[in-house]
Amino acid sequence: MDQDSRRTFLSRLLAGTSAVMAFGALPDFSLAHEHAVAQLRAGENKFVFFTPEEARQMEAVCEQIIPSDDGPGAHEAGAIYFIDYALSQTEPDLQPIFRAGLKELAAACAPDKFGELGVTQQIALLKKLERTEFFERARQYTILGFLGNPTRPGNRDQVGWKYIGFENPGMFTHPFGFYDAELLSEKKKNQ
Amino acid sequence: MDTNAKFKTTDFVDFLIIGSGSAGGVLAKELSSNGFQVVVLEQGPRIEAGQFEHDEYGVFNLNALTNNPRQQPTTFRESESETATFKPILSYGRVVGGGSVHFTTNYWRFHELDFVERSRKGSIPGADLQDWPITYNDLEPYYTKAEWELGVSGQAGASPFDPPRSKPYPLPPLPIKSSGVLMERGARKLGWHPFPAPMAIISEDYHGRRKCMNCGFCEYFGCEWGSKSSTLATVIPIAESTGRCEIRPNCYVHEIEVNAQGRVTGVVYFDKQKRSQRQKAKSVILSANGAETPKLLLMSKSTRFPDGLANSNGVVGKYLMFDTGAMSGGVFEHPLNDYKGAVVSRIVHDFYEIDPKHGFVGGAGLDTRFDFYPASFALGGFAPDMPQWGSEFKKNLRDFPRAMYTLSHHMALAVESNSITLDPVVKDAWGLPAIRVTYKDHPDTLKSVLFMQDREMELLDAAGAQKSWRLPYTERDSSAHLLGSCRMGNDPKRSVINSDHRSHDVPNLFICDGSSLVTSGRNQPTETIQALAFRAADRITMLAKKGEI
Repeated sequence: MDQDSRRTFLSRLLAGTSAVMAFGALPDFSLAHEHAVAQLRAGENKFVFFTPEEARQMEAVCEQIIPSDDGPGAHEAGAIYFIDYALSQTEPDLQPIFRAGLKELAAACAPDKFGELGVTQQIALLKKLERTEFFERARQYTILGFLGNPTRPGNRDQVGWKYIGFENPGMFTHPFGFYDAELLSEKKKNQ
Repeated sequence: MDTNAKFKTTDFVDFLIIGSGSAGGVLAKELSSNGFQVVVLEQGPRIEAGQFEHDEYGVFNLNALTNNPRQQPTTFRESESETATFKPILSYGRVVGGGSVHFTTNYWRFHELDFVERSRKGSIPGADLQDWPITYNDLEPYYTKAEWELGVSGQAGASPFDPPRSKPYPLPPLPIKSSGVLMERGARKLGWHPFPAPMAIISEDYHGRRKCMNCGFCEYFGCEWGSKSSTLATVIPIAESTGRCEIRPNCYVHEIEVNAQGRVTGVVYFDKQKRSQRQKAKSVILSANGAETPKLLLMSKSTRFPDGLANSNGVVGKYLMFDTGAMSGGVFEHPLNDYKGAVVSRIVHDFYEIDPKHGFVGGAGLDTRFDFYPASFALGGFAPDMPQWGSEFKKNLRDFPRAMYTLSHHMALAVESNSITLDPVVKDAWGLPAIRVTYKDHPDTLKSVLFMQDREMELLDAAGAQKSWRLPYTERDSSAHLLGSCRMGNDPKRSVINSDHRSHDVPNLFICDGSSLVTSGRNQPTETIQALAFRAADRITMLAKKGEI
């Protein structure tokens, strides 16, 4: 265990939970999880938490956080479905942050809609919102929807994992990388 | 063999152990093997190896294996004059096997110095550095016992700074990773002495367990192969096979009861359905970790112990020591794929004692590692001044296979005001007081962290990093190492337990976990916690057999 990476990571993940601290019993994660995955496998791309309009705007935010420029991004990974799953199934205490955040986003764009703005305008607007709890959470959950384990919604066809060069077969044989392979071959030569 | 003992709550069992982690699991095995009846009450659920998943969201966000701040909130402040506010400042295992299930498995012995550093360094203003009542030599047989009983991989004699040992490691080091090769290259250029990291993961089949398959999900995850030498995978099954030990999960103890003679009689706990239960016992051993242990003592108030059990001197909860360290990252020319295999393969102890001419008292170990997973890498792997979203950010994600990190692990000086107390207002989901943490690094500890981060940048440069960055050290980050909060000592006025782990106040109450530590070593505490547990089991057995409990 330890350490600073994890500490930084955890404190970032958990930043702001205090504002929405819920003391009630948590939902049964495993059941909710199975339900959501079953829904996805059945090809349903419906939203449980987001309204269709919220989903359109949220999706546009996700697409700026991880764009589909040089390869699949949040859109291809279905990150929005991960966010909807998390908000409806596993972490409903985060719902107000997203609902209020999307409202503020809409107000900031009115009379236009965020999803219909040009890319430059979208980026400029999100830069202004960077320090808000909504954006922090949007970033965090978009990333989880791009790079999380695809046994949950998101990271469809492992597009996120493939993009960064990660595999998860559950076991590996040594050597793992260039430098340890190089050392091994030097050792063999010297034998 | 008779297995799965079940005791009635009305049975006065010989020993009731609170917590099944690094220490509790060892004590359960030792005491049940020595013929005693043992009940272990564990707050968390029982999850078997086959149920562990490579699921970042479940582990980090939903706290599958750790305390959940939604249900057990903590509050935080830097000094006693402040009002504490919500902050998830503590992270600890909450599952059968405790923190040993999800720990990285760095398995460092403390050095001789760690037990006598006060005598060597003298008094340090603002700190309360103390010598231990035992020495390295007292603990050495138990370090060896821990390594051999649990299964540890390493290379004896590889570090010129290592303390003496009576036996080599039972298993050879895990394979060297690219981060280890780069550590060796960089460190040697700098005149340092890199050596194979001792890790509590088995590099070969051992005691019926399968060797490490290099899946890469160690830190914060449970090992689905059972190759990590957690108490869940090692001593707990042995304890259960004696037929004298019951591991009871989902039991949240909230009071240790005492009688008119000031002796412990048992505990009161909430079961899974939040029903109140009372388990009787002849003796209680508290191994609930450096935060939950003092919390439970402070909650156990009675007319005889109005300020909490074992707390007549007011020391319970004080002198808390966190894990402190700096982390830096680098990207290299070729792929390391360092996410494969155990987190760490090479370390240095050249800075175990940093030269005081730098103007502070401190010491650290340093490793190269990769302890990120895909999402956590994206969320926490880059410095704040690097892009955090958008096109450039996404391109940087492609550095995942070429990245490694270096992390320092520091002596945290004990400070009296760094403490665990009960929050006067905030309650948890069971209606119990939330843990309130008061913590601020001693200035010397902070200086040592900044000093080591400079060494990390030198190391990355010497190893040939194309780019490197510092992850800023923030004092208010959370801690997973919770040490010193019920410390051991000969002076009953300044410590909570004696060198037998017996409470100074209550003859049949013992405490053995991270809270027992007098100093933090270089903040890889697990081996010392487990060596203490093996030793405590011997001491307690001897006392019980002599009728002195």
